[in-house]
Amino acid sequence: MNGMQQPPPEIVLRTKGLSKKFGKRWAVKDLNIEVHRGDVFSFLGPNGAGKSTAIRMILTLLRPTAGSIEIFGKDLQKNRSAVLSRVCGIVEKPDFYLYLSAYENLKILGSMTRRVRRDEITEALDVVGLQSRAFEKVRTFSHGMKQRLGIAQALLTEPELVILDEPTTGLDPQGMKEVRELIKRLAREREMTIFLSSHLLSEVELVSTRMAVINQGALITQGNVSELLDREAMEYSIEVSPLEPAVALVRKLPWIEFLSSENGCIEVRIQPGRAPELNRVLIESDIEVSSFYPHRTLEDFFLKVTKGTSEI
Amino acid sequence: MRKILLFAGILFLLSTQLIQAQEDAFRYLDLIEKKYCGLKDYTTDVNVHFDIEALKAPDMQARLYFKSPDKLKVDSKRIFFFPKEGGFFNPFQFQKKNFEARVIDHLIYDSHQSVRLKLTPINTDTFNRGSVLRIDVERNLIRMIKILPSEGREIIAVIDYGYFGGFELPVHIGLQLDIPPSEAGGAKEFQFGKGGKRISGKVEITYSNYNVNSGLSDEIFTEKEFPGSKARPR
Amino acid sequence: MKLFWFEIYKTFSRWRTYISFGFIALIVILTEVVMKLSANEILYRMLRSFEKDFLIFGNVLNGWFVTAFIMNSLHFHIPFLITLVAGDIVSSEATSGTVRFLLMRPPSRSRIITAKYLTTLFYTTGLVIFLGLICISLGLILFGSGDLIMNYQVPTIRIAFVPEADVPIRMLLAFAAAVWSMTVVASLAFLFSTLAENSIGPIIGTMAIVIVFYVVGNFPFDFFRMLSPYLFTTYMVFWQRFLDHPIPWLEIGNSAAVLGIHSVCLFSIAFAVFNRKDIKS
Repeated sequence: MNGMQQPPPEIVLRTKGLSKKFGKRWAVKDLNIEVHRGDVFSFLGPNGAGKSTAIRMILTLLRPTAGSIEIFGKDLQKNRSAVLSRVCGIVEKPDFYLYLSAYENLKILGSMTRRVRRDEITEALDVVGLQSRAFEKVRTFSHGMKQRLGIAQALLTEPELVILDEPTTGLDPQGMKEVRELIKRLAREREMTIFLSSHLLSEVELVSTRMAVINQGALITQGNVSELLDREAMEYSIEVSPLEPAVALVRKLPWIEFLSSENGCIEVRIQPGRAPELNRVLIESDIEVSSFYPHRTLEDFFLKVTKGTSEI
Repeated sequence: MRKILLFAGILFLLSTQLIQAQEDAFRYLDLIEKKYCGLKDYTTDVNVHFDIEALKAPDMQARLYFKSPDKLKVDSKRIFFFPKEGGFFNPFQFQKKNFEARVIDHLIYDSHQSVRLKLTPINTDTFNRGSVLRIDVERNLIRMIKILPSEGREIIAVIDYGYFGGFELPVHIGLQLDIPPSEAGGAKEFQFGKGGKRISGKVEITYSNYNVNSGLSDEIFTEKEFPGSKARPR
Repeated sequence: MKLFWFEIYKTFSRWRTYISFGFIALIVILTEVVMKLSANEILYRMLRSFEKDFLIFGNVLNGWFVTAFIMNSLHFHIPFLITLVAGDIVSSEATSGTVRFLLMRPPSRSRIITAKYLTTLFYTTGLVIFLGLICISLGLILFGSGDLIMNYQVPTIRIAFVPEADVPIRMLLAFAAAVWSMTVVASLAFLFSTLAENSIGPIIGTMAIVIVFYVVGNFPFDFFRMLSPYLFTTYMVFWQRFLDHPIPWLEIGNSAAVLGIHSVCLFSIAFAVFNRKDIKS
């Protein structure tokens, strides 16, 4: 047994009691989240949950009604300039100065953080595949190209924390895949911490390491993605033969929730750790098992928690 | 009948007196003209000082050319305002053919015997006006010209003389102006301000550096710049 | 300073900025050519109050007079051209969505709004100076030089005469004063730009205020005359006083102070609004 304990993860972003009121309505209330260094942290919630409001407060676009934000251990309000020089954000769709070229936009936006060299700009454009369009006006760019340019400007200043609000909005499947791969590369190769919000749960499940779920301005849950999902009972589809004896057997076992059966397939809900046990029981009962696969999805988890039915 | 004769006699006497008065008035003017009959031309430096609220300007300088009987030219490198009436000296300007004249009275002015004449123009135009002249009969000099009120205008010019080239020529003319405000210039903005004030004040004209009878040629005076001419744009 | 130069770069990268300069050049050229063709009529109108009693010699209709004439007649054109940029410089960021990118950067909102305001002033100054240069240069070429006669209506009809040697410095001061006057218009448009999320509102709003104030301040009724001292447009023509004789320094100082206070207050409000504004779009 290893007596040495893992050092606690460095907290890159922490909110304490973060709240925002618009008129009489609380858009965000008492939000407490922590993002660790190296995380790809997803911020989930239905429409109007307060995700964008929270992100805008973190990026100083909105003034919090209450609470505090710490980034890299420093209070954001008191150390805004020093903190934001290590942060980059894309909120909704990236917008640029349409009358300037891609190069000029990166030059201006990048230089507001630190001095950027020409080769750094061209390299950033090259990474996102816009090198050939560097000196064309941005008004000639498609939505996907602007999205890539937005990521280029995120790369340019080599931030430690990248905040993305709905980064795949409006993209086609190919574009979504590119952004997804880019996010992974940023986290893996450049050791950037990624904080992103999205409503495309399938995309989030593929890239995220940790997540938080917010609804009606309040935090529902947060933690490691796989841990959160593993807490929940999962649904499985099992292809069996013969069907009726399998159904009868499954109905008898108290630790199995029978859901449905048709076309030689039974749907059950069990704790993930008990899947091997179910497989053995079926085989020992002379029931052939052709396939056994889980329907564990983030979407299911999300819908459950946001409806308030999960016991966390 | 007696009354008619008496009335006719009085009329005859008055008319003869009038005729006599007129003949006396022009006698004074003829003496002046005779005095300056040898004056063919002169040039002089002119300095004009304005003391008029409606004209805020520094002193203006020009070179004035005169050739008898009525040629005048003003040469100035800069903008130059020159009073039309009473501003320059022309001993030949009060011609019998243009005026009716009569003696108003005799007086002592500046310790000299003087006479006041009233001149009424025969043809009315912007130049010839009714005026009163005060003439020093001992020296045959016009000492004062008073332009009689007309269209609300009243101008008084008092003239001081010096000797130049054998002639007594003005060294100083002091003008007293009192003229109506007239229309404004070509401004487009509203004219509802406090305008309407009379243009009144003094103009002091000083003459120096005379050059008399230098033989000025007519070519110098090719542009007629008598009163009524406009300022020339470039 | 970097922020300032970026704002300058952005402003002068838009072709719309150059519309103003082109428009001014066009107006000045047209006006001066027409004035050249109508010289006698202009002189007559200008000097008729004095021509009955004075002979007038010299180059009255010279380049300096033409410059003063054009400056005097552009009460609305120049403010409008200024609002095209001043009314757009902040609101356009909201319209295009770039405000988010801008305000997520390390530079504080205070520095950003100050850089934008300085850019607005730079543009305003450039526009007025351009007007002056083109008026004077073309005027001197077409009409030559000479003493300057200025025709005043208020408080009384009078003429002021400025010797030729004094005119250049007086003109320089007059244009500096004109820049100072236009700063108020620019500041007002800038404030509206900070409050709005599109450019049309600030432009129309600013021009509406300038026009209404100017008209109200010139109405010949006692009530409006009472209001006149409280309207900034009343003081905007104080540049003319540098071409008066003698120069009324006290009146100039008073006008400059009033306009300066307006500019400072308007910018202060814009500064506060921008710093506290929530960016929801």
